[in-house]
Amino acid sequence: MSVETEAEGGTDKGLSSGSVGLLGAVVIGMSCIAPAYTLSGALGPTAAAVDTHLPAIFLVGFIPMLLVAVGYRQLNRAMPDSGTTFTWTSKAFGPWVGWMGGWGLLAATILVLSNLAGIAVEFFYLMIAQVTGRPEVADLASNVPVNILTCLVFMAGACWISYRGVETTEKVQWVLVAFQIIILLWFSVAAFVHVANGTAEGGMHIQAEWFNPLGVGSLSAFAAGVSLSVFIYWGWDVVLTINEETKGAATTPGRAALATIFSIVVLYMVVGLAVLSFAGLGDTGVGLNNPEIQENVFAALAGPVMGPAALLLSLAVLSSSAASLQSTFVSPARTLLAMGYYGALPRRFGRITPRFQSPGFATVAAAVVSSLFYTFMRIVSEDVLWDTITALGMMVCFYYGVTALACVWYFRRSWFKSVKSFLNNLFAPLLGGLLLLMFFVQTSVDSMDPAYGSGSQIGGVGLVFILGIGILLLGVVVMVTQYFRNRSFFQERFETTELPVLD
Amino acid sequence: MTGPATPAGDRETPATSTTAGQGGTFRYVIGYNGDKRSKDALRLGIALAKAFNAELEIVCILRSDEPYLPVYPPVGDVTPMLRRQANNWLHEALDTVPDDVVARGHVRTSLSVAAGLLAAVAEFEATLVVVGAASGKYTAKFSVGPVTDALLHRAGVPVALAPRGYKGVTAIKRLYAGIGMRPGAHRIMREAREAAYRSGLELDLVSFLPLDHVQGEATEAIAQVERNLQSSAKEIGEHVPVSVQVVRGKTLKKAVAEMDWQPDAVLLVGSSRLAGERQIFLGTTTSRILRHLPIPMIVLPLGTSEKETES
Repeated sequence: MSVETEAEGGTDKGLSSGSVGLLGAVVIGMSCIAPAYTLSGALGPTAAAVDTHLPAIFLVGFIPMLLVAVGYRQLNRAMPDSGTTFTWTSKAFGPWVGWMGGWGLLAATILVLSNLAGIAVEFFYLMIAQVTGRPEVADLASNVPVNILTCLVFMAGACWISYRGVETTEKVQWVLVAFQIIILLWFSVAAFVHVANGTAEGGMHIQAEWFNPLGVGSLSAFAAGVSLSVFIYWGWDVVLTINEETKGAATTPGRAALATIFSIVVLYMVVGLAVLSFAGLGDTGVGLNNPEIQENVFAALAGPVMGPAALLLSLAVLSSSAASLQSTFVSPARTLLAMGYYGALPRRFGRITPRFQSPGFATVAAAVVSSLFYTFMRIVSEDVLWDTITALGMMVCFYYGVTALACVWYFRRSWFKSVKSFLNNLFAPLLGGLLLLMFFVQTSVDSMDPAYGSGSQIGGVGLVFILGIGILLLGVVVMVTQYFRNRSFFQERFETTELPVLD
Repeated sequence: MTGPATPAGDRETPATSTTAGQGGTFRYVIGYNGDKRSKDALRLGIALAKAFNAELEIVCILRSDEPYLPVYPPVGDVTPMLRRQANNWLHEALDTVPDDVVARGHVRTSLSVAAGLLAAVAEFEATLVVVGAASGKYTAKFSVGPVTDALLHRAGVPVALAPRGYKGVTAIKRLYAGIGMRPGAHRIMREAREAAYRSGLELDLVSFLPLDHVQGEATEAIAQVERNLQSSAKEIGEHVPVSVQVVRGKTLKKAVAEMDWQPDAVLLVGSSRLAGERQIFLGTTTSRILRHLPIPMIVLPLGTSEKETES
């Protein structure tokens, strides 16, 4: 009696699952970025940080992401079957750093889950208000108990779907992505028309200076802007990891990545310019510096820009954040699964529900933690969405940075094998990783100031700092606890010198 | 455990035979993924394997991700962990198989469990696929989940269903064959005879008579059904010991519930006439029987030859 698994490594994956063409890959990348949701949350805080240099930051902020993505691709090709930040960093730097890298990813996903749910709640009530024509319904979103309750319902729904292992199909993705893009372009065109007709509230004309990254006032502002733009581009690198399923695998992933990058940068540029020139930087009304609307600019701008069609924008943001909310559950659940599996967290996190083949315990744990976190933040913070986005940007900088350096170290023996290898294994990830970690440190230092971000604070220290650094310190505590409970993971000798052939 | 060997050449049916068939070894595919109903299915598979001297291919289907599943932020593939888990489940399963039954474990990947099981049936040239009924806690013994439902509509081989919480028996000793009151029961009778003949199991032809559907005198209806069954029994021949039973009750549900089912038996039923060639299609009566049946059930696909004889 024996158990026999199918072909070594189970490489039949691509055969049965159908292949993904170039356009399909772009759709997947777009859906992971969720542009409607991302812009809605990040435009305000970014404009607050860098003023009119928003377009410049959108262009520049992309570069460290691109550099790090090169490292991601290398690691993914070398270790395709265990491709998590957690396992990669463990293999490169040993268990302790690996553990913290995994924790950073977890923290980022918990933060983004609360933010997604928060945005979904806002647009949910906004949409009901628009449909029923009763604007007072939209105010329900700022009623704390109602808000928290609605959010918990959304969270539970997304958790249930992900627990059951339900997956989005191709058709749904196409519709969601196409809808977002059409509505965002519609919004932008409408905004530009208003500007041209002089009916825009802010009414600024596009200037070349907006594209000059060196025009940003200070390093702090620059770092804050980049952390935020890291958040808005977060997710596109998924295109690099779908190569197995892509038609014509040798060329498509590269082209798909480029196509995704190009489309998303163009889209962000158009929407960013539209918002900036329509709304201006005033601190009243729809001005981007009005703290009332900063955490959620689309909610405020949709009506003035699109008129009755504003409903569609709400629908786009709502569907985009709801779809992301659901797919985002998969990520922390799988990271927890991997950590539980390797003994870096209690074993029950590694448990797989037989019926749905999903990491049941880990999924529920992720939902519970995000819900608690959201409830806490909603009560403590004046501007939950803003603070979570900023802290999220920090966390992404941290774990992306660590992962990029893991790539550099993991491939240390092949740095100088060829020019290509030098660029892919040393130069790009090292530069990208250092940049991101630098922005992480800069943002952390700045965020100690209680006036940072939305201006929420606890005991004279900025809430964003407490969130960002607090979460990492909590990670250290959990890590040490786990060390004393089960040392096997921390004593494991990872093969840090494993060197697969890569060009 | 095996019944009398099939004398060569003494066959009227073509080689599409199912629960029993010609000389070689039979292989049964068991859908197994570590949960309770998989264990029900395994127990049934073992009992059937002993009765029909078959080998078991215990298959764990891992669902592969839709390529369009957006994982945001991207994390890597956790399939190796799932695969390891699947191996553990299969080892557990193999440990419960008695020594005199040959069994092998396999892990396969597919977009859906049903499609994976059907592919496994083709791969192992299996003659039967065994699954457990869905585990609706408060519902009937059998509630058909999406996997079973797909199998019951697409499988080209018989599908054996274990009722929820099936305890298992050493070996299946008795076959019930559900004979419908409409014509077209040739396939099921042929199968039943074949199976009984090969295995030496006792064969019971049963018809269900819900009295709420009977117009006029009940006794007459019962007698009519019984005559029907008797003539079917005669058709089946002398080599196999056959008994007949008319199961009646106020409703179909009551009839099924009040019948004294032997625990070491399975019920063979045919497919609806809606089924395509060599396809299973669960008819309405059958699916209602299924809901209240306390013993395992095997649904046979509609055979090619039957279509021909009917038309």
